[in-house]
Parts: sequence; structure tokens; C-alpha cells
Amino acid sequence: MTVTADRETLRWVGVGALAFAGLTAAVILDAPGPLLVSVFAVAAGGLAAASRPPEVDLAIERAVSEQSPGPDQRTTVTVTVTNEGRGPATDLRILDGVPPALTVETGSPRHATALRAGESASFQYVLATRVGLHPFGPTTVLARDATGTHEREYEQMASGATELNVAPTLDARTTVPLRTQQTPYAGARTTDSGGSGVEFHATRDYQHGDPMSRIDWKRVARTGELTTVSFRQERAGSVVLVVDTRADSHVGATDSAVARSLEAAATTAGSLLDSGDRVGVATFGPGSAWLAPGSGPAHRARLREAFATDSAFAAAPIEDEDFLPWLARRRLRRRLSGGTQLVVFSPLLDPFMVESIRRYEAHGYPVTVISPDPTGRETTGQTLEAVERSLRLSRLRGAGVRVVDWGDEPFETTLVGASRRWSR
Amino acid sequence: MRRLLAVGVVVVAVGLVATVAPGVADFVPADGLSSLVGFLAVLGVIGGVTRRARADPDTPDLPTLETVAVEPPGSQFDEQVKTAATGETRRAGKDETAVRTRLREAAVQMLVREGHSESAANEQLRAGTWTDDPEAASFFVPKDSETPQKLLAEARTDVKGRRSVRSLFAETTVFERSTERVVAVLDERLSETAAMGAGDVTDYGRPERGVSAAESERTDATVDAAESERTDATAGAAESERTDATTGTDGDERSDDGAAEGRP
Repeated sequence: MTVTADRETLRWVGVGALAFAGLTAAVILDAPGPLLVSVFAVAAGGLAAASRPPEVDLAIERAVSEQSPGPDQRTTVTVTVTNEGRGPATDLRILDGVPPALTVETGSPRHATALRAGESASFQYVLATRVGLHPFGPTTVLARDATGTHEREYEQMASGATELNVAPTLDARTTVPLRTQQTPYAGARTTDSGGSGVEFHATRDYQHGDPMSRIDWKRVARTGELTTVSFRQERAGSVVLVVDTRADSHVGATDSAVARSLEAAATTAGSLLDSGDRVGVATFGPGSAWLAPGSGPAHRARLREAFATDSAFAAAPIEDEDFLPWLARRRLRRRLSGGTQLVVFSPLLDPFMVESIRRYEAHGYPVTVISPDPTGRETTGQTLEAVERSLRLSRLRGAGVRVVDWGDEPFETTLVGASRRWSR
Repeated sequence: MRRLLAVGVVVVAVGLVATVAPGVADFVPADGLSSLVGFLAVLGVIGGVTRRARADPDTPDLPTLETVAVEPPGSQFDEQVKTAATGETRRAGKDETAVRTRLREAAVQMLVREGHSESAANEQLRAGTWTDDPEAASFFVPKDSETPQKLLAEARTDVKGRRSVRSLFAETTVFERSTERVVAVLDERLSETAAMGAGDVTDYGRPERGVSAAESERTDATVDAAESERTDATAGAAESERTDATTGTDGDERSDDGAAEGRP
């Protein structure tokens, strides 16, 4: 329990005026009746002056209807408050620490009550769930004494449920375009090298040992020359999804950029796994989660678990003084193996991220950036951030990085638009 | 305070005893006291009402609960501008430098994106020719510049003139105004270039940028540079010829010349 502030509500300030008004009336009218009004005012003022900030001792317990619900579902949170102090808590206002990235659907996370010693009260509200680990914040309590003169504000961590673990379903609803690349695994991504496949790549002179089926027989019939047709090889991609979870990225006009990034990363992971690609995840921020690229049902389960339970995927800012961005950048590079490509989810709010992406690109890891737009245009500072971000985006594009600027529309819509542009 | 409390307790005690045995209060002169008490009571009423009117309770700053608890980035910049504009402290100076550096960086990037080189962009900022907006243009011009451009002189007097009128109506200082203008100009330029297609074409790094557009921008840049050099030279020459005493009236003429020359 940490006391944030003790303050005076100033509710009884000036009650002396009433006392003196009664006295004045009594003197002027030369009648003792109005003097009685003063008695009440003096009593109230005296009580207010004698009051102290209330010492309350509450036990707050939180229960959720389901600890690990699926995304886009409803979860009911029940908070029970018990007065464990010796005296009564005369005026309590309780604000539960709703996870910052979640919204309240019905009910209210605020409750006002008065509790006798040992008495308890409870209230409920319903949260709409979304992908990620959602830690509950501290519960804020505002307690006032009987006269309402003093108010104590403090924060207390509730016992019971402290987080919601929402694992993604990883069922693909969209296709995510990747950069061309080569891995030794067969898959569905067409590459720039010739071999066996479906899509035409090139013709070349026949060389001894080329399979008969690949000889261009029509051309042999026409000119008598032997040529071999090669097709684009189809290979599996190896992709690491990097989510920028640094404290500064937990911003947005209406929604948290990190929470949106997590959802987009989960959608991407599902779609890539379905198309037979190898998918890994990493966070760029405190905790630095890492799951090497892989495929198969076991890997799918590991991915779902990482999203729901790894604290590095928390959809709330994590305070970590020891987090060094350049160290995280180097660590991630060391973990990447050749032929891997990156899909970075970041609001791109600082030059450091741009620099990191350019470095990964330069080291031979093709990068696609998916950037949820967190900027507003209400104040000068917000407009400046928006302008700077646009400039960063165009610098990245100039450096050959694919950038998807993701506005307010659903992720799938953005992707469709982006793939159409890229396939031109 | 303590003495007042003691007096209060004694008076109340005497009063209580007097209700039981009225003879105790006989030493109190009945006539004069009641008017004195009445007068004091009126003062008390006035005092109480004023205290009530002045009461400014400190209300708690509570978190957002029902919706996603985020705000768009940019509050840091707004705060820095406010401190820099109001305070005379060391911190204000630091914040002003930070604000200027950041705006300059953004403006340079914008000009680079439009096809100018970085040094040309810096030159334009220093010369104040990067935009038509007088307030935004003068923002990056060094105060102790050796070669004060005529355009600039004009722009600066303009700004000062506006300040006095504006300050009557608005609570903003010149610094706040000009940062606002710089950002607004940058925002405008951004949407202009985006409409031209400069934002989209460089998608996935293919150098698809419209050749004609790039060409025209480049020639613009060189023309601008040449222009500013020319005005520099003429300004310098003019400066050396004229004496200080005449600058008052001649300065205006010169600025007109400069404007005619500087604006194609």
C-alpha cells in the first residue's frame, strides 16, 4: 500500500460565516433564536477542524471468470473489498486497475461504498479481451473521513488475479506478403532462383543431365536447338516477427501501438505458419523474448504460449532501468541465422528504431516494417511527431525497406492494400 | 492559535455557567458589548465568505479506466516549448535548444526528401528562404548573423509587428507562435509531397520517383542556392558602401530590393 496523497477537500471552509451570520441576526433582531443556527455551524466547523486523514485497512481481492480467454471474448472481473480495520470506513471510492490496453464493455470498474469493520462489498465489470499478456494495475482507493474534510488517496495491489493471458488463435485470415529470400526448406514462397516449380523463370542452353521433362520440345521442333526451361523455385520463408515493446511505444491516439502490434504479429504468425513458413518471434524491449523460427503443431503451441504468458509480451509498459536498446539490437542480430527475414512491428517514434532496421537490412536480413500509426494532430507536439514519423517512413522506404503504414483501419485491410502495391 | 483556543474555551465555559447561574455574567456591560459582538460578527461573515470563495480544492488526478489508457506522442515537445517560452531559467535554455535542434532536424529531413542536399537544406534554413511563411522562415536564422538578408530583416520586423497586436488577444509568446508555424509549414509540405506521390513511389525501394519531378526540384534547389549567394554578395557589397547612420531609411529600400531579387 502506497499513499499517493493526503488532501483536504475544503468542504467545510467558510462554515464560520454561517456561525457569524446567526450571531449577527441575533444581535440585530435582539432575539436568541437565530443564535441556535450558530451552534450547528460551530459544531460542524469544530468537527471538521478536529478530523484527521482516515486510516483504512482494506483487503482487495480480484477474480476473473476466465484467466486465459480467447481473443475478442468477454471476461467478467469481480472485485471484493473487505474492511479489515477496527473502525468503519465511512466513505470509500475504489477504482480498479484495469489493464491499460483493454476496454470495459459493461459495468464499471469504479465503486463507491461505506464499510463497517469486517464488512465487505463487491462489484463487477466486463472486459473485452485481445491478444497479449494484460497485467492489472494497482487499485486506487480514495477514502474520506466521516466529515468529508480529509481525503486519502492510495494504491494497493489486489490479491487474486493479477493478469489476463490471452493467447492468439493463430488461424489465418489473411496472407502476409514477404520479401523474396531463400531457405533450404520446400514451401510456398517463390524465389528468384531457377529450378523446378510452377512459375516460369528462364530458359537456357541444354546441359547434359537436365531432366527430359524440362526440355522445351516445341522449340526443338521449330529450330532443332535443345533448351531447358527453369521455373521459380518454391521455398519456405524463415521469418522472425519483432515487436517493439519499449515503454515509449505504448502510445496512440485511440489505441495502444504495442497492443495493435501484438495483434498484428499474431495474425501474421498464423498466416505464415499456414503457408508453411518457419516463424519465430522476438520482442524489442525490456525482457527481450525470443523464440527461434520453426514450424509444426508443437511450435504453434509454443508461439501461442509465448504471446499469452511471456512477460515481455505485456501490453502495458514495463519499468526497466536496465534495458539498453543497443544491447537488444546486438543480441537480436546474434540470434538471427542466415536467410532469415524480419517483420518489424513498431510505431517508429525514434531514429534509433530506423537505424536498427537499416542495419538489419544491411546485414542481409530483408526487413518488412508494419507500423501502426499512433500520432494525433491536436497539439503542435503531436503534429510534429506525425511529421517526423512520416519522414522516417520515407527514409526507410528510400533504404529499400518495405514499409506498411497502418492507420486506423483493420490490419487485414492495410495488408491487402500493401500487397496490391507490392505485386505491381 | 493556542491562545485564541484558550480564550474561546474560557468564554464558552463562562457562557455555560451563566446559563445555570445568570449572576456570574453580571460583570459584562450589556449595551456596548452586543454592538461590538455584532460588528465582529459581520467581519466574521465577510471573512468566512471570502475564504469559501477562494477555496481551491486539490482534486485527484485519476487514471483512465474504461477505454485504452494511451495518449498520442508529443506532450514532451509541448512541455519543452512551454518552459522555453515562459521561463528564464537554465532549464528553459536547455529546452529551447532541444526544441530548435529537433525542428531543424525535421526541416532538414523534409528538404532532403524534397530532393535537396543536406548542406543546401542547411543553407536554406540559415538564409530563411526555405518557406514563404515569414515567421517559420525566420525561426532558423541565427540572431547574430553576419549577413543579415533583406528578406529576413523584412520578415523579422513583420514578426515583431505582429507580436504586439497578437499579444493583446492571445496568451502565446513569439517563440510558441513560431514553433507552431514551423510545424504547420512542415505538415503542409508533407501533405503536398504526399499528394505529388513522393511518399508512395519509393515503396519497396524501387527508384520509381518521377524523373521529371526530381529534375525540377533539383533545378529549383540550384536556382535557390544561386539566388541566395547572389543576394549575399550584393548585400555584403551594399553594406560596406553605406554608413551606419543611413541604415534606418536605406534599410527599408534595400529590403524591398532584396525582396524583388530574392523572389523569382
